[in-house]
Amino acid sequence: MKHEIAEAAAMERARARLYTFFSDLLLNPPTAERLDKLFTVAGETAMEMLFPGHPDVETFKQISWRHRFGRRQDQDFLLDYEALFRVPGESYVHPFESVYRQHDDPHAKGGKAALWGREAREVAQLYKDEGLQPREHFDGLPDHLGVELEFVAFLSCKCAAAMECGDQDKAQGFYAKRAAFLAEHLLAWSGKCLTRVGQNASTPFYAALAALLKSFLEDEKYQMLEAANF
Amino acid sequence: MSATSRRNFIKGAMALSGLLMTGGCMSESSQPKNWISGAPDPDMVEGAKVVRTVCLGCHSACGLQVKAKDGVAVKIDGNPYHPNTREPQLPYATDPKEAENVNGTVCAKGGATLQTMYNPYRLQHPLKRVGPRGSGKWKTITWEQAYGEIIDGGDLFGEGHVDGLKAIRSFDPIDPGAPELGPKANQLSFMAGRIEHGRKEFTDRWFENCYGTVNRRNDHTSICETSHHIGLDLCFKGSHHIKPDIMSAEYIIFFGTTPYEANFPMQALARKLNYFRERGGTMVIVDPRFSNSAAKAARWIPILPGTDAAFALGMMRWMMENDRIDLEYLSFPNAKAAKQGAGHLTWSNATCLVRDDDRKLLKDGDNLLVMSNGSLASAEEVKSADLLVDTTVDGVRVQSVYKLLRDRVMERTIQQYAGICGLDAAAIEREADDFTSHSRKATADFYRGSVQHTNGTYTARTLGILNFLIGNISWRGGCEAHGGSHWHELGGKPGNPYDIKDKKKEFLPGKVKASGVHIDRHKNRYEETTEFKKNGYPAKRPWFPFAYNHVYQEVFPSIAAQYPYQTKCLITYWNNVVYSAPAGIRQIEAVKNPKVLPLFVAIDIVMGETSSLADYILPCRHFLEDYGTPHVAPTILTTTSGLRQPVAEPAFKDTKMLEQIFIDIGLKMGLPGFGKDGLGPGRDLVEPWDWYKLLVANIAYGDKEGDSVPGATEEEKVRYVVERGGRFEDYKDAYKGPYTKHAYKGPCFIYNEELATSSDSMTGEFYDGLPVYEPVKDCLGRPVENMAAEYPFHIITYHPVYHAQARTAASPWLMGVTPEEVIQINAGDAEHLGIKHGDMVRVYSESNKDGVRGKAWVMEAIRPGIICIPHSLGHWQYSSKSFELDDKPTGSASWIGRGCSANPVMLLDPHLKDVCLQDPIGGSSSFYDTRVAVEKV
Repeated sequence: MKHEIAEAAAMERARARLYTFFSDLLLNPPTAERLDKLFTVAGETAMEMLFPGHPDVETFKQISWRHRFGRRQDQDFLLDYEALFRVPGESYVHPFESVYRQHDDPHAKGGKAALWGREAREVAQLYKDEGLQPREHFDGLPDHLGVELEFVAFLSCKCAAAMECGDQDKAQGFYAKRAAFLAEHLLAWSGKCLTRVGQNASTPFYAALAALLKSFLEDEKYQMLEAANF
Repeated sequence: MSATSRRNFIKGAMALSGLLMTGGCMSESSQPKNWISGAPDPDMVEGAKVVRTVCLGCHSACGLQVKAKDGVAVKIDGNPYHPNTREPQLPYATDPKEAENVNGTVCAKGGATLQTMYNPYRLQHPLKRVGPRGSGKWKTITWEQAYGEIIDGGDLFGEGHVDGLKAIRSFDPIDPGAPELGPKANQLSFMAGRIEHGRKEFTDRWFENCYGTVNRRNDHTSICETSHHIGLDLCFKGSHHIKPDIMSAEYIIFFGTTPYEANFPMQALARKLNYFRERGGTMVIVDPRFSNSAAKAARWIPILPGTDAAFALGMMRWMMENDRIDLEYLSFPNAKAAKQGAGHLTWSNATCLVRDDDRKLLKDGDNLLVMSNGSLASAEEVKSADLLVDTTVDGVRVQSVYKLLRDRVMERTIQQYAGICGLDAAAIEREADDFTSHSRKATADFYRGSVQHTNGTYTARTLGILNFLIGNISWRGGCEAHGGSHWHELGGKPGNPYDIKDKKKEFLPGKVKASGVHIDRHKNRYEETTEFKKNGYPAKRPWFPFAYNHVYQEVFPSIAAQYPYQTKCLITYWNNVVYSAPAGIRQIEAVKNPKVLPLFVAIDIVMGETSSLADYILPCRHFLEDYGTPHVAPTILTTTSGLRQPVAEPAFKDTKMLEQIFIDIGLKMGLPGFGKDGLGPGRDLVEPWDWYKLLVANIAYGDKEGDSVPGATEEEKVRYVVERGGRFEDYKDAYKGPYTKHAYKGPCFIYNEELATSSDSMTGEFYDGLPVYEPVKDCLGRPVENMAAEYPFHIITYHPVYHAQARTAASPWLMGVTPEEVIQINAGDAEHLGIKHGDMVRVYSESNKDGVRGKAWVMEAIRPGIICIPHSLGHWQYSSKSFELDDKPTGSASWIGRGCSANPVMLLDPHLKDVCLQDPIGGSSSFYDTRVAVEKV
């Protein structure tokens, strides 16, 4: 039993790392230093282990190899990042939940997406309820895809910590919160957003990143459903 | 997940740890702060009273939802019922309490109106000058003293006797030898700057029908864009404003306007254009300046100022040569033929025949005649008529309007038109091609930049007629020439309970009928005067028979010239002509001499540049403390009647609403129409609401039987409107089949007979009845000398999105976002002159060699050879400096006078020498026809 709990806790920690990894890449521009850390043998190995057989792992490895031994594409990645996530324009994907959800809401009479919509306010309150606040120099919105990923990572860490302390009720509570957040927020819109990233990306890096994250979240959804059925 | 997969997942995730760079965007805290980054301002106001009113930060008339606490207005949002502020707006039946949870948008100007309302430099008590006019020395007086002296006159300033309002109100002729000038009562002139519906009609009633002077209103429109209205009025019957139906259009070309920064209503234009662009619509901006709108456009066409008509004529030529004219539409000679032939709600006079001898349309009695299959016929009786006619009827050569238009267009090649515009011919050809590639879902729109020229009316007509050639008028997605309009607050419609227009003379017992010539000669014909019979052409000063909107910049010079008669008393309201008009500083001397203008009363909220020249200043209320029934532009397709109403206690108690001032004076003078039964039996007029409640009742009951808002009684119906800040037709009712719901249904005049048969009062020459490009001219019709060697730049101006005319300077928020660098110059020009960004430069012209000084804004976003100074800056009064009140200097704030204005360097008319260049037809003042030089100082 102890072994199972330890493995479950390790899974939660691993899950948290992966969420944090994607959050980190979505919230921050691809600086040279960041790319140097990412495009390493360790990075390639990690991707192979996390996404065995996924076609975009091969893409990732090719980009990584080219970065290390061929022509660096730092400027291309930066421009792609800015166009996808920062600068309103043709490629911009509006990486905010309330933008996507209001399009889907039949009661939103205006039918027009808006920043800081209902979902943004809801997730901001959830973060606050968990004792979280934006860091001093962070100027993003609470329903940014990267922020929501970070929040799931936080809940997973809390869940793991509770398991490691033997507090199963608390662990269960964080697990339930994570499941609820995924169902009511992150999984409800991230698929559409990531599809758009894949379509709008001008570099294979961000297209591959979107595909891998989408794949991971679909797997999370599947596991949640499986757990619920079980 | 299998055990192996789990292990790999855990290992893989472990390996990621070394790849991460940051600690995330959130941190834990025992007392986490609210997430405010990028969030709308938290609404800190609880328990506030919500009042819905209408803004006057600019003329867009957007609904406001104002929260007031303890009698103080504390927060402003958009009124969600109002169509300017939301897409769509809330359904009108929405409960007002529920609507408090929804906000419409409000622009920076609207939000900052709190600061202009609570502006500490507002005037707080009536003032009387104690030094010479314009000396800046004042004393506080009571309202009773002010009223008494203004009404009764006397030796008010120790400068000799001054007639008061009572003495001036005489119905004896001003000049028995020239009876057309009217009675001496006309020697009282009212001159409002910005005045809006509800208030306009109130003051019209006071001056025209209670006092008896024709010189009512004289408002500002001729320094705004009046030739746009006049030009379009000469294109349509009873319609004078067009806008594209943006929400359904595919292509829009905007001439001389920047709908993302100005124009009406700016908020709705910008919002609708965002939808339009998202749908893939093509927006083209024709403007010498790379405006915010140009930045969002598919194409920017940096045209030379004043040449828009040449561009349009070039487009017409390409359309004619490439078979892109809707000849079927143009061939319909009447309403029935147009409707049955192709479903049009309008028809043109393209097939009408113009007589060569007298420029009139060929008629048989009252019936217009056309040629149909080569035979003369009544325009009303044939389904289509010939477009290219050149023949002789009864010995007189007649040509069809379309033939004349074609000949006119063919006078120049596209290359020649492009040369006038300073563009490549391909630019004209590309827009002509695109404009005619969207069936009727394309529109050519224009505003101020196109028409504030000496050729303004001609340009307006030419641009308007461009639309007729593709038959887009009144179609969904096409050119809207009516809009949703408004419920008729003055009554006269079947559903209205009160006919305040007073056709039956029930609402103004003792009504006076004013008559005679206006001080600015608007709507007056020189040829009908004694002066003309004596002297012929030219008149002493221009007359403006087509300028139904007044000729604002002509009033002060006419007062100074005592032409066509002396003005004994001038009352201004929210008027700042010396600041706002081109070359307005040259009008200061016009009103300084008490021998020429004996009495000058200003009604204002601040010590404006013009009010500072008055004898008395009566402090009035801010528009958040006022009433009004403003209308909206045809950008809005649903019927809209906004209601302006006080949102809080007045900021300064000893101020009065404009209506109250005139009610008080009316009562003290014993004028008809005030006090008990002042509005007819049982309807007293002692306070402003007595007037406005009738207007609101008319809006509530609606124009037709059964059109009323809910409510068992009139009081309940009025409350229904008051609670919602007006009456608004639901958004879903914007269209009716393939047309806009409230579409214009009438003729479209390619040739305007009245214009073509009228003569200019200065030159004696006929005006042109067709689309035409005309270069810059003075009042004698002489081309204005270019002087490009001495003055190499062309100066233009515009309204920044956060300013409007002369009313926003008192807001520290708005002035805070205004750059210090205001003289915009192309980077290449600046380099040539050795000017760097931020350098102090002087801009001067032939009319003002001293010029204006300001910091340079070196930019690429302007055509080389153009200098641009945004409007609304450079105040020299307005409490930017102190004045003396009760022997003490008042407080002031130098930031109010920040920057400079282009107006002081605008050209004076070389013949008149006391007023700027003017459009002789529409009466617009010229803002964009001046050449200047620039030097670093």
